Amino acid sequence: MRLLRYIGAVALAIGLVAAHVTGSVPWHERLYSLMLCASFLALLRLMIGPTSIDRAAALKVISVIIVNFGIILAALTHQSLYVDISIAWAFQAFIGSLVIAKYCEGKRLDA
Amino acid sequence: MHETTSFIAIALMLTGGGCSVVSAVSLLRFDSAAPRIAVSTKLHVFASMLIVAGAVLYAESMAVGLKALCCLCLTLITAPVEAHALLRAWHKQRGHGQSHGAPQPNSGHHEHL
Repeated sequence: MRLLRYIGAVALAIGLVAAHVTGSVPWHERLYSLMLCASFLALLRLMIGPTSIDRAAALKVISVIIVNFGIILAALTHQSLYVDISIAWAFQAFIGSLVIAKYCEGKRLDA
Repeated sequence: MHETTSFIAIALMLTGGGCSVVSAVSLLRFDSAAPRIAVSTKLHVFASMLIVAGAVLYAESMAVGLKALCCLCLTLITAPVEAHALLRAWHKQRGHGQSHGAPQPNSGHHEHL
């Protein structure tokens, strides 16, 4: 069962990597596909990672990718609205990562 | 002028995307949790810096650029704090006994010169 999961995830990642190499696509689509590929590879680590610390590191990567998505959107559409979303997500990811770290350390979350 | 600037901006953003992919791949390749945390802090934030630089160059308006720089400053400040917290938790999970592996100097061998 575990082997099947690994094979499925690796096939997904390879498919995403291959998707953006072929053809002549506009540069922003290529950039989106690159970031999506990176997020799926981090998702692999999120699934596999033996401890919670590994999953927290993978969540960091995915969160920063999401922040970068918002910034790219803001640059493409020339609206400063999307950067606000990125800032909010950066805050939330920071707090979430700290909560996971504190819980794994064994401390109470309110002390 | 805008053509050249936007070409540099697009090159920066694509390099940033490539660095993101490299950091995600290196998440999968390392054996321990500590290098993974280091990569997600250093290499991935570097990729974010490249993308923000490209976005600031591409969008010629000051609103987008300044806000994106604020977002970058926030990411730069919070990423090492997260890394510290995660590494502290990892070190505690490994057990304190493994940290005392450094050789202690023998106090009996010191001669008075």
